[in-house]
Amino acid sequence: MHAKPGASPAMPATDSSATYLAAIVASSADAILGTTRDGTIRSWNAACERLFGRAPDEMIGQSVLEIIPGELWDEEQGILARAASGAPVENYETVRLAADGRPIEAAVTLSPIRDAFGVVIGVSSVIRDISEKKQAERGAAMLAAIITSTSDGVVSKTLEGIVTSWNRSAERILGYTEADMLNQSIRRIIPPERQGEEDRILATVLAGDIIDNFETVRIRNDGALIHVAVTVSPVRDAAGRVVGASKIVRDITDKRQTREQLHTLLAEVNHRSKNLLSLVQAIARQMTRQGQRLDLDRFLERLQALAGNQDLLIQNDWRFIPLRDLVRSQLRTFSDAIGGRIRIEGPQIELTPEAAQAIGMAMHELATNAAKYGALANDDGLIDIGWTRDDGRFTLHWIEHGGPRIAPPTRSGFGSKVISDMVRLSVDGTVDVLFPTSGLRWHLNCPIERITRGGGDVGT
Amino acid sequence: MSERESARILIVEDDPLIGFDLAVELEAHGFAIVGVAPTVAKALALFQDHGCDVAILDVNLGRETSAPIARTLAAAQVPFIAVTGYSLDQCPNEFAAVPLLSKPFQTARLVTELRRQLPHA
Repeated sequence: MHAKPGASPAMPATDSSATYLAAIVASSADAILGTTRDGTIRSWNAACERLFGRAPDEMIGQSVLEIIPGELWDEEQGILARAASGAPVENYETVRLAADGRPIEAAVTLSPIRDAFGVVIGVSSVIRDISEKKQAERGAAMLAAIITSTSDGVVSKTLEGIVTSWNRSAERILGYTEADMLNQSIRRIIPPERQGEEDRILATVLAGDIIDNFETVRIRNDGALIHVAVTVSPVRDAAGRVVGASKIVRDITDKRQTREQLHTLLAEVNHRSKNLLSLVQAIARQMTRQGQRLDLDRFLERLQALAGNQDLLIQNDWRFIPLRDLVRSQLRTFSDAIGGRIRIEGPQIELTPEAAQAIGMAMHELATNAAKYGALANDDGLIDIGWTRDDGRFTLHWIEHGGPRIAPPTRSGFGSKVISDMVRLSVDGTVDVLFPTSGLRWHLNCPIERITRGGGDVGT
Repeated sequence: MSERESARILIVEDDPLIGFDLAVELEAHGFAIVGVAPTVAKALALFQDHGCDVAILDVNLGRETSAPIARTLAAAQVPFIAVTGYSLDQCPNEFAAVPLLSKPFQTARLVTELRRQLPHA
């Protein structure tokens, strides 16, 4: 520390060493005070005045405890007694009080003052304000705590790529401990074919630029390749020179998986939507075969039936459709009758999307037919819908009673194609459609694995 | 009707309604349909038993792709056309050098493509 030039007295006019020493003390940048053995202040230099905001005439004759917080008085008296007994106490960090009561973090050195006979007659205190240093230490400790606790790997390295720090998350992400990596080359975690990346990273950092969220691959200590995003920034010394690099490593395996899943899903959406358009095209074409005019209402009802299937599929993450939900959805126009004139019974079965489409369309055609000509065309008809699962076979029936007397249809339209050939081919099964006068009887029988992904034992 | 228009066609399509519609459309254009197969196993069995002059393969068959059929046809030097809702880069390698029709398509385009693939066309 240097005295301010203005505060420094001229060279002493006398060569008396006592005066000379007194001048040094008076002009010292460190606060220096002297006390008697019991702590009464005897001297108080200019730096004391600056540090504590109290003038010498205010302080001389007062107890040194004036500038010490009450809770430290006991400690101070012990230290003072130790110095008074002849043992110096060097640089102990403590707290002093300014005139306005503000605490000052200080490093204090106490030395005994002896007379010509070597008898301790007092104690000198050199008090250095270390508030800024302590503040900086706390700041550094805070940063260190942040780096220790962050979920990102934080690593520093020299411009040669030698690791100088390695936090806990770097350990977690890359598997290597701090001890494994300190003073080792960062190239250890870089796959052989990507070593060129490190050259470019170091060159970029040396030029003072930042590499932001660069997605790449690194090697864990177990040899596994992991996807990471790295951000590398230059570290500068006080003079602004780039002396190293800090590197933040984030594990992006999850992010990549999410992205891949999204990509797969979009491909699936693309495929399914175009397939659906093909299906709409096929329905329109089959409904207008042999010069028939398109029955627009029926066409739109069929599109609604397909759309209903899609809703159910989305509700189940596009994986399956519960058969019961499918049947209820296709009969929603008659939902008041469900549980009354329409009885639905069967175990829980999760249909594949493909089977759900075929069976859903068949249910729609059967319901439309029942409303026009069958059990739902009068006020008394009943429909039994039921399914079973036995010995690897699936059966589904739709049996009508009590409707108007019926006769077999005279020609086979699109609807009858859907309830017979379409569903039969789709699930690799057999379909029987009978037309006794009591009402239509429809039976489907197919291997269970054609309609559900889980085989025979799902959802019992 | 010319010789080539009674060419025998194998249709591989997992949606029976689309497959049926395709078969009806092509019959109306004078082609003979060997069969409509919804799975790889059925397609291979049909091809084994009856053969065909040209095949139409839906790339995605729900739980599987028609890549194994493509390999069998290529080995037997039977031409085929891929139809799919996927974009080309989403299709297996077996379809990289094959004519590809994106769904939905008009029958006329398919017929043109079939005639181009047939021998002596």
